[in-house]
Amino acid sequence: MIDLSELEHDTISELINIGVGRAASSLSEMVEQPVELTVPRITFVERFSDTDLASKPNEVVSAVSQTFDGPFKGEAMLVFPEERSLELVRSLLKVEVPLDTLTDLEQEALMEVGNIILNACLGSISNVLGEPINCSMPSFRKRESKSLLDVEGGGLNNGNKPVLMILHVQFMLRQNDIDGYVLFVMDLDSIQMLRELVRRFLANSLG
Amino acid sequence: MKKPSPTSQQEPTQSIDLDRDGNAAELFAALLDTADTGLVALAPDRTICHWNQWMQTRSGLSSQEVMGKALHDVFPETGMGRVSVAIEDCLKFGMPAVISPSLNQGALPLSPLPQFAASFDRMEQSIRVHPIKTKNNGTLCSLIIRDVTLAVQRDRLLRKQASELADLVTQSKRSEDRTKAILQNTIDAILVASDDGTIEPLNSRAQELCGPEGDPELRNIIRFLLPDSDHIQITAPPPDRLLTDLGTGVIEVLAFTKTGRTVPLEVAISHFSADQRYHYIITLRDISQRKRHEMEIQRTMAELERSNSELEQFAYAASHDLQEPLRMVSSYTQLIARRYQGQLDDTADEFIHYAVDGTQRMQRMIDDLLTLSRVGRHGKPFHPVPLDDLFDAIVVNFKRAGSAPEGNIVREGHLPTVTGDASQLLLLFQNLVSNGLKYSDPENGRVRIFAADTPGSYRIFVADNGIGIDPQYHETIFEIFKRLHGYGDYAGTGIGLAICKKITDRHGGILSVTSAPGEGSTFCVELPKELPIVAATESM
Repeated sequence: MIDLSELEHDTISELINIGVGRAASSLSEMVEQPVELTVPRITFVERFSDTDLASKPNEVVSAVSQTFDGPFKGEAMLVFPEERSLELVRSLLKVEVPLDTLTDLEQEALMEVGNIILNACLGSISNVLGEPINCSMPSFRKRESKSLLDVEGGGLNNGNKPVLMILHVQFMLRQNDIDGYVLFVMDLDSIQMLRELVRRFLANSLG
Repeated sequence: MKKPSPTSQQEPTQSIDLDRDGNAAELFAALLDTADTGLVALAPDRTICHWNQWMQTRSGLSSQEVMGKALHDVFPETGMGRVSVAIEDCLKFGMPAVISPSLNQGALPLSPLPQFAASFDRMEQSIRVHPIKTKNNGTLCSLIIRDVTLAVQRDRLLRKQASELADLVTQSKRSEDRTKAILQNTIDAILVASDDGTIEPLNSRAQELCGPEGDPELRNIIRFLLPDSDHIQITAPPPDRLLTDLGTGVIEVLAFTKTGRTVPLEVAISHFSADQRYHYIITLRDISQRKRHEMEIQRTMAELERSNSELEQFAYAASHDLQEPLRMVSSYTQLIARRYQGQLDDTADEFIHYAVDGTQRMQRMIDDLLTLSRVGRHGKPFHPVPLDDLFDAIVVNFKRAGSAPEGNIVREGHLPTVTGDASQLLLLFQNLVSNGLKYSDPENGRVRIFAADTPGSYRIFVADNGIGIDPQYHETIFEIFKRLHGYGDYAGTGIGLAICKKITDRHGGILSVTSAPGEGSTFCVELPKELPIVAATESM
């Protein structure tokens, strides 16, 4: 169903990596310490239960999510296990006294981090493929990973089975590395549109 | 914008259709001016096309001043890196952005409200950057700026308090650990008992003694010892387990260890009240070592007493039995001296004189030895002895013997009444006075007697103006048969001061001397006001 050629897969990887590279440099500048971001792995799965995140269904995760609309539409989210998200924000903000949960300000900082990364990924795709994408403001959620994709009042998942593009992202900070995920949740039409756009882009650039 | 409807403004009761209202732009602007957030709109060429009232107030720049200018021209001193990038992304790609106060402190140079001016240079801002599509497919960029200085201040306060709390917890934990460690490592076993009869071991030693591995009888004994235990069933412990010294109030119990060893324990009980209940702290101290030492001391004391009395017995018997043959020798040499004086040659007379003299000295020595042995053996019970009367008697004795010129025994001030054996004290001071006179110039020799008081003792001094004693002999002169001078110079057996010392010892006192050659000697007898137990029992 998601039959991407190796070249197409590599192209998407490349686009994403350009995006996160840009995000990393913005973050480094903002927090005045080296921040590196890598995407070691991109996978496509059809069910959330096939993801690494689903292996711990009761783990509480923090997610920053932005919906996007354009030739292909869906929801992009940056997901961390809650503890990792605390670690990330605190090492970015150089917090000396950690509290047990994210404070409002820390949550907003995490939202900004998510916003920068998601914008960069989406922007990079949009820019290279030459198709504008409309994004929503980021929103924050904290819930058990098993209900991460549940949408209040239905919506995206209705009728169409979602397809997940999962980017495993790794933050490399001064003291430690923090692993998280970027999820692109799209319906089948959208993913096919994305593939179509990638093919068109490849055809153009390869002559 | 639509053409203005001519009626809409004249009919205030009619609902306003903003789309049709000719002043829609003004109305929207007025609406935006009422917002409690900053609103800025940027045109596709990055110039400011809206600047609401809030922005005017907080930036101090009027709308006229900024309209048509780029943001970085309005705020030239700000880098605004993140803000600029976000605006750029917004206008170019239509990307919205969140700009948080934590990651971008004071992103725009806006002043804080006066109440925050002391702790904040700039307003803390939470900014949202939105793309706004226009009808002709252009993009505007809106900035919504919220003042979150209060939230940041609260966050700081929260962190400060959290940090203080954490310090406090660490501190109290440390102090608790320390207390625990002290309790655990105390050698004594410490237990706490409540008035309901529960006994809880507090440290490892207590656990050893009273825990499941310990002596099961011990808890019972402790309950028995606690004062306020009427309502608990108590069985009296076996009598051999409880050793209470009624005299000292010290409670000792015997515990049996699992290995069958007997451990004597001293019990101390104190109490405190908490939660409206009485609690007792029981301290058990292992006194095995002390008990061993006590027994050793007792054994040594008995041994010492036995050998001492044996020695006295021997000295007495020896001196007593020596007297008999000596009397024989003495009588016959004196007889020879009387009968044959001048009938033999001069050498024989001289020899006879030496023999007589020798027997007399021997006699005196044996007498003194007997006296010495009697000090310990034939002591009389102690009574109050007024020393003034005692010295009266001594002066009379010396006068009667004619051995002292008038007025050479001087008493300075009143002498105290001491507790002791009157005849021995007489012997003691008579010896000291006699010594003082003996080692002084017979014509000008003077012995002074005076007393001083210390908090715990009486000191009686016997001072002479005689030849004095070299400090190196100050210790040895009290030893038996110790003589510093030839017999020819000063008569004496070398037992006198030994007798004095023994009498002083028996009275629990100290005999000492201060002296220098040629400057006289001062003997000091220090007698305690309260008799030590040993002296008191011995004198019974």
